[in-house]
Amino acid sequence: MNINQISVFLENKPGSLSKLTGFLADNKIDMSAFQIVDNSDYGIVRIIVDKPFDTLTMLKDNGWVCNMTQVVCVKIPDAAGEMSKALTVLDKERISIDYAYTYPNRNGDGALMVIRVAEPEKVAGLFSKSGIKVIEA
Amino acid sequence: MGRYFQEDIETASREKIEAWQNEGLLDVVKRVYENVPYYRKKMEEAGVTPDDIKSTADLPKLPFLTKDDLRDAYPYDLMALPLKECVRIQSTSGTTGRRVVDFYTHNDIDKWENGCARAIVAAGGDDEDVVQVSYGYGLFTGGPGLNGGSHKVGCLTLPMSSGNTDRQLQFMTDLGATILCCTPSYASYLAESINERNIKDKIKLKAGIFGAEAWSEEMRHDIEERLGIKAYDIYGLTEIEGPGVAFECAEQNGMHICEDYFIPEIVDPDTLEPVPDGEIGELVFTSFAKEAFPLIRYRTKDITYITREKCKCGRTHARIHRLMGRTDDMLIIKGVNVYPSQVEEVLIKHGMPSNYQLVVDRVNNSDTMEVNVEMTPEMFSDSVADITKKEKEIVNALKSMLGIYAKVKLVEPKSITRSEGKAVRVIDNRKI
Repeated sequence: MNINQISVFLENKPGSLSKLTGFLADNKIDMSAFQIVDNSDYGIVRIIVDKPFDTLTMLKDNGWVCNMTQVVCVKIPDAAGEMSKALTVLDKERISIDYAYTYPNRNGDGALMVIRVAEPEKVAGLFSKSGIKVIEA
Repeated sequence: MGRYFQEDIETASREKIEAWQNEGLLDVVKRVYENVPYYRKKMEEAGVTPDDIKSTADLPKLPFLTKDDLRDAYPYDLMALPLKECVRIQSTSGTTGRRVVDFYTHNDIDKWENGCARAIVAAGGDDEDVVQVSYGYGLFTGGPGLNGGSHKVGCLTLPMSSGNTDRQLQFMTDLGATILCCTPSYASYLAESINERNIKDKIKLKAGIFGAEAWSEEMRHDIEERLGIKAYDIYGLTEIEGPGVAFECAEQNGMHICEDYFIPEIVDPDTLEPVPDGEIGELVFTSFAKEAFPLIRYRTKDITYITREKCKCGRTHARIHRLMGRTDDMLIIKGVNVYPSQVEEVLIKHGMPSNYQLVVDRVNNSDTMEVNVEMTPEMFSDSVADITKKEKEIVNALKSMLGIYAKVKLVEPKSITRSEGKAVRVIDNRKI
């Protein structure tokens, strides 16, 4: 269960992001989610792709510094209070979130939220028990 | 072949070595006084004649020679023999100013190659070995010196010169090179390339002889581990002859100076007074055995210390500690002396690559130093907080080593230029 997210190190300089997206395009890799976090010198690009293992190998072989992390992905219906409902599950168990981001659901049904936690398996179980839909790879 | 290339010489008693040096000094002083007007003038200005020099104890009476003298005297004014007696020149790269040339007779080349041959044998080499010489050939002394030394030992010699990494690795694997001679930064680059191509099991190297730039003990361990070899330091400079002036033995505890050709001194770089053995200072050489281009009290600008204690390997020739930097690559940042090798030590201790660059600048009348270092898979994380934490550890370690704050800038892998010769470690943008 859970989803494999790929993170890539990029230096903050013109062209480095398009070099990465160009590489993904050349290799016909389909991205469903994309997020960039940065400080003044570098950025970390986090992506969710259709073929995470192949993508990781390809990136590594071509000299990118990158890794793969298991993240929990849950469905957030398009209605007020739905995100709060999901997060309350974690709050009850005093589970801390390293980071989170959302992206639109492909079939137009609400949003998907990616949550990075220390114990993704345990958290996915908690969500399922509380009736929140966990997306699997 | 045993453990030494020239056992009688390399294990001679200190008395014998001192006798060679006393005799050699008297001879060279007389030769230059009589044959080299440039020297005679310097000696006259210092109020000293050959009669004042009775032994090496009188060395401090003689004037120093610096790279500026060599530039002033370019090309012929320091020659002690007519040009027709010479058979070779070698030259510095000229990157720090005007070129400096060195002249050699047949005997000078013979002695130079002896020094390199001693280094190869001290690194465990014999006539069964295949020596890959990946120092530059041509005017640079590295290639020709080790090439000649390798011939003397009877090794199969691969005169690769520097660069063209694919060809280097092809010869290394196809011909089973056992000893690699190049700069430490190029050795590190080759190790990286071997790892990338996944061909480590095809490499037969057992030893490396690395010199021509200062490198740290941490870098040595790193190269030794990645190439699966024992790495030996070698020292030399074009002005004196080239590599083989001093070299490491299996003890890896200092480089033995060929004291039958050279008299070493360590002086305080500010007062120019000699310092006792074991104290750090600038290395000074008198190349008394050179026929064509002998130098007296030449200031190398290299910082080290000396020991004359007998080495466990049996060699009696004095040892210099691995170079701690050069008086001219020492940076003064916010009034603090910083050597690039100190930064290297910290980086390697923290698992970072030895390929780095220091960028020094002056912002609002205050010096700044930035250390550019390449991101590694080990340091990378999907969380900025994790990376920042490791970055801080390096910044703190640098601060405790150097005494000043240096910003660490993480850059993409392979974005710092690899050097095939001497690495460019410092970019100083200060306009003072």
